[in-house]
Amino acid sequence: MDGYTSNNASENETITLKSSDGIEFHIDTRIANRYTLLNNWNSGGTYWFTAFKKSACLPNVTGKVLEKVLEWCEHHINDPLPNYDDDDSRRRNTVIDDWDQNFLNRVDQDMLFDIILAANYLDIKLLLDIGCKTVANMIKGKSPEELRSSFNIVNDFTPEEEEAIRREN
Amino acid sequence: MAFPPSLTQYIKAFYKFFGSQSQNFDLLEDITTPNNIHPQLDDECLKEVFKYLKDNTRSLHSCASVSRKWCEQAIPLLWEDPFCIFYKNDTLVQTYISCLPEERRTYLGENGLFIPKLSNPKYNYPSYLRKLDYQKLNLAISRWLTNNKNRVDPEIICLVSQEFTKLIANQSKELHFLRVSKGPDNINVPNFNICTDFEELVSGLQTFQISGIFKEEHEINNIAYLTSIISKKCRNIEHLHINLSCSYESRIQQNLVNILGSQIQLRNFECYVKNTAYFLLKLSRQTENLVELSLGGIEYNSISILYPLISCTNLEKLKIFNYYDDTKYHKTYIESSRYHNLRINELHLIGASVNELFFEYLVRMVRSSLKKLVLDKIGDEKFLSIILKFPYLTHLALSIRPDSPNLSRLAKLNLEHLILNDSTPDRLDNYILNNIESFPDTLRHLDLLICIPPDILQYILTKCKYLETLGIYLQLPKDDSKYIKVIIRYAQSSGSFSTLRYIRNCSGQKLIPLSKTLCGYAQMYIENIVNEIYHPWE
Repeated sequence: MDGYTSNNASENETITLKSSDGIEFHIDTRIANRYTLLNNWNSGGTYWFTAFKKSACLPNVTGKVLEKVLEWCEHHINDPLPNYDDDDSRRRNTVIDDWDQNFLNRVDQDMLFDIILAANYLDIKLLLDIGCKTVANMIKGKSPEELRSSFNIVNDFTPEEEEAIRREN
Repeated sequence: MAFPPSLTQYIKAFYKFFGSQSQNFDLLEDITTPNNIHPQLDDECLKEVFKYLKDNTRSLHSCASVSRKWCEQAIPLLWEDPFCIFYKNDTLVQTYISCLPEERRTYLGENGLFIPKLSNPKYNYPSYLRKLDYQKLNLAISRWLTNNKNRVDPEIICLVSQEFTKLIANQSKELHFLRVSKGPDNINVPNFNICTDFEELVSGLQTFQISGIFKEEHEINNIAYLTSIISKKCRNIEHLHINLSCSYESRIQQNLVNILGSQIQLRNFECYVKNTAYFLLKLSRQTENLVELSLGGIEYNSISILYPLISCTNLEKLKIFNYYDDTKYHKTYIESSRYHNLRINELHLIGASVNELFFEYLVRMVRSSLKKLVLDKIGDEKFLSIILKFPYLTHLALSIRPDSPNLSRLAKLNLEHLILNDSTPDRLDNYILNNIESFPDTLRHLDLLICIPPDILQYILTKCKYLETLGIYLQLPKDDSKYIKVIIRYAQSSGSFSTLRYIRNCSGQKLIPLSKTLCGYAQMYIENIVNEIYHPWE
C-alpha cells in the first residue's frame, strides 16, 4: 500500500520509506538529502540501499506519523537551510509561523508527541523545534497541578521529596 | 504509542545480520529509549521542550514540581544560571551551603558564620552550573548573610565565595560563562589557584568578562593566575569583555593579549583599557570572526589605532564610548586609502561629542552603506554631515538640540526606527512644531526620550503614518490619561499600531506605573503596554 508520494517524485529520483506498520512512502530524494539521518542512509549508506533496493524501514515510526512528518518535509523542501550555531538564541524565539501553527493545530496531543519523537529520531531539527515550541507554549503559565491534568501525568513524589524540591528551589 | 525498538538497536541488528564487525556499536548512544514513567515524551525530547522555557523560570519551576521525571529534566536547566533566578531570595546560597562537605561547613562556622541546620540536598546542584557571575554571587551571599543573623562584611562574603568556588570547580565540569569583577563593594575575588580542577572548569568557556580595579598584591596574583589559565586552556571564547580602567601589571596585560590572540571564534570583543591600541594589534587573528567590537578609553588623536579594523571583513557593529575628552587639537594624518573601507552595519559613538577631528575621521572611514547609527550629543553641523554621508540609514538614535534647524531633513531618510533624545537640559515645548514637517513613511518605531506635553505628542503622531510602536516619557500621573487618549486615538486611526513603551520622567515618581484602570482601558486598543524604554545611551 502506498501512503504518500511527493509531488515531484516523477521528475526526481525517489526512495521508499517503510513505516513500522508496513506502509510504504515514495519520497523525493531531495527530502532525504535535507535531513541528516535520511541523508546518511541515502549517501553514506550505499550498502543499505543496495541491499534493500533503495528502500528503508523506519521501525520507530508508524505510517500515520510518517505521513504527517513527510507532509511537513514536503512543505519546507525549498526553505533555506537554517543555521544551528546559536542554539540559545534560536530557542528564545518562540514564534511559530502560520503554516506550521496550523499544521500542528490540526493534530491531537498524542500525535503531536509522536511527531516530536519521530522528528528527534529522524534528526529533523526544524520540525523538532516547532514541536517543542508548541509543547513549551502549552506549559507556560500553568501550575504543577494544571500540567499534570493537561499532560495526564501522575504525581509520583513522596511528600518528603516534594518538600525537599520546594525547599531547595 | 507503544514505542518499537530503538534506531540504535535496529542498526546493530542490521549490521549483525550482514556480518559487519567493523564498528563498535556499543559506543552508539541509544537515543530513543522509551520513558516508562511518562508514556508520551522521552527524556531527551522533554529536555528539548524545557530548553524553550529557560527564560521563563516560573514555568520551569512548575515543571520541576510535576513528577520525578519532569523534575530530573527541569532541575539542571534551572541551575545552569542560578544567579539570575535566585538572587532575590536565599535559596541559592542556602542550597549551595547544603551541598558543601561537612568539614567545609564546620570551617565556615569556625570563622564566625552562623549556618542553620540543613539536610542533605536531593540533587548535586553545583554540577549543573554553566554561568558564574561573581558580582551576582556576592550579592546573593550578602543578602543571605543579612537574613540569617550574620555579620555582613567583604571578608565574610569573600570567605563564602571562596568555598563556593572550590565546590563549583570540584563539581561542575562545563562552565560556559565567567564574569569576574571587583566593584565599589570592594569584595575580593577568590583565590582560584587553590581550587582543584579549576583548569578543566574553565576550559570550555564561551564568554569571559573581567572588570574592576585590582590594586592589592594578592588580588593581582589571583587575576594573573586566572588570566594565565584562561590564556592556556581556552580557545573557544566567543565573547570577551575587558574593562580595567586602572593601570595594572604587565603580566596581566600580556595574559589578556594572549587570550585575545589565541581564540579561534571570537565574535564579540569589548575593550576598555588604557592602551587599547596594544590589544587592537592582536585583532589580526580575528579578522574573519569578529562581528561586534566595543572600544573605550581611546585617545582623542588615535584614529590610526582603528586601522586594523578595516581588515575585519565580517565586522557589523562598532561601538566607541567615552573616549578621552581632550580639547587639544592635533592634526592627524590619515592615508586617503583608508577612507570608506570600514564595512559595518551599525555604529555607536557614545560620549563622542567633543572631539570633532576623531568624529570626522571615523565617519570618513565608515562606508556609506551604514544602516544603524547611535550618536550622543551631536551638533547641528555634524548632524547634517551624517544625513548626507549615510543616506541608507534605517535605525537612528540621536541626542540633539531639539531646535536644530536640520531636524526636518530626517524626512529624507528611509528610517524604520528613530530615537530622539534631548541634549539640552531645558524643556523646549514647541521645537518639533517648527522643524519637523513630516516623518518618513517607512518609520515603524519611534522613541521620544524628551519631555513633551500631550498636545505636542498628538501633533507629532499626525506626522507618522504607519507607526507600530511608540516610546514616550510620561510626566505626572495626573496627566497620564491625556497621553493615553492621544495614543488611543492614533491606534484607532492606524491599523498597524501595537505597542506602547513608557517610563515616567519626573523625579520622585519614576517607579509609579500607569494605573490599572487606565492600563486596562488602554489595552482595549493597544496590544502591548510595557513599562520600559529602549535607551541606547545608558
